[in-house]
Amino acid sequence: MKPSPDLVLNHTFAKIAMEMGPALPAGYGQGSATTTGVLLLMVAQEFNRAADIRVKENAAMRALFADAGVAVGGELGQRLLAAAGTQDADVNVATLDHANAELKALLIALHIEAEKNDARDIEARIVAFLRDAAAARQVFLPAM
Amino acid sequence: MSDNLEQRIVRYLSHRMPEAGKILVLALSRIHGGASRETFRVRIDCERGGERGLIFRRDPVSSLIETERETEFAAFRSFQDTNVPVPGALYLERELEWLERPFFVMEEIEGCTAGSILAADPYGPHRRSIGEQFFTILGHIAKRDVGTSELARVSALPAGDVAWARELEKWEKVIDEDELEPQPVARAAIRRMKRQPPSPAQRLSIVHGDYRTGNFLFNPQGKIRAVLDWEMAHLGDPLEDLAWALDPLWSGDRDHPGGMLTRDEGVGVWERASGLRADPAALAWWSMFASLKGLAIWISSAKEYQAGTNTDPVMAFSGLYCLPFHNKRLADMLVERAS
Repeated sequence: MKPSPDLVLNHTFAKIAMEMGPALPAGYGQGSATTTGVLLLMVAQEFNRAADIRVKENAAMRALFADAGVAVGGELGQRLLAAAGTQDADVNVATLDHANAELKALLIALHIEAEKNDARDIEARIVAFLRDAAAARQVFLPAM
Repeated sequence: MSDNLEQRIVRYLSHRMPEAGKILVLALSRIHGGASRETFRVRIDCERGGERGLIFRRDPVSSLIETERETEFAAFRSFQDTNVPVPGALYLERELEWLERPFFVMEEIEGCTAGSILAADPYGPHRRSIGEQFFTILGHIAKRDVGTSELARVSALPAGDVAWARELEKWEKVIDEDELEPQPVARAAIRRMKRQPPSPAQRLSIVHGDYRTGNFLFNPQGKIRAVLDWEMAHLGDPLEDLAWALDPLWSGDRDHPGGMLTRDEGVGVWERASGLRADPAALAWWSMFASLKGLAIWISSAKEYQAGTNTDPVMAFSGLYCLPFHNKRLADMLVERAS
């Protein structure tokens, strides 16, 4: 797809934030135009990476569940192992988000269990995953 | 801006200010950024009294935070004619007949501006001076006698050892109600904070609730003229405000919270002005709380935008930029405290 969507969004951000916004009277309209431009800048960042981030997160959680499921055992262990065996149906972002939400709900349950049983290895892996996932999803903005 | 709103404002002011005689609206514009209230700047000319600027803060259809206008109005009233600069709070209106939704009216602070959290250097040559005023004023807020304040009439006073629990429960409930997807970082942080609570509040104070860059006005000479946006004001531990003010989201310059002083400098100024000590362990707890509270607010704004109940671009910005920011900050804190 050319011009590439992220390029279009970046150029449109520049048009709105640097040309159209400043041409409006100061106040709500001008501020909203600038903020709208910034939204496009952020969506441009997300466009290329959205599927990649979610595929990697889902794979990391499934790997974690495969290891933790055996150690945890019981009903939760079975759910973890079942989830570890799932796959993303496709790489549409909405599909990946749906799976991501289900996996994260299970991750919360595993985290609570690990804290309750003082399972430090599992807890450390979860916290490291959360840190890495949060870092990957950050959006960066230029100073304005 | 619609003539209808202008006419309604004239009708309301004529009702409230009969002594002013005939009132004309010279200018009416909406101010950007007030996602928790619709804020209008109104310039009027009174037959008796001449020109003056007013600010109308109207309840929104939906907002970033569900707040009580009575609370904000009472907070402004609590600091009239004190060393905490606030605009004059004139009228609180609950009746719907005037502007369809409740609102209140304040004096406009003219010739001033607010800093932006996206600016590289929001205060330029006044950075140090404004930073010292900023943390001094926050210290004065912490020192204000709670018992004689108007806010004490509308906000419950918690016990010193559970102020933290009340606030944590409040924002946990917001996440419970508004999350669109599971929030494992927020949930882990909440459990951590409950397991390792802070020491009891040294004193119970008025807490502004959103004291930061962007929520105060300064003049071209670098003097802070007004602290605004008291809609989250309540009574509680003053360290809550200090931690919120120090949060790194409020400036692109991460070494200078809010684009002013360093963290240590800000804490030092606040301690001298408030007469209180910022215990490092307690401040660390409240710093984690600040990021959690931020996360809760951004989760709510994302929900409102997603649902179409408030499509102001500020709501989308909160969900796309602020939410991942505080999620990462909380995740980093979880790692630091685990290691």
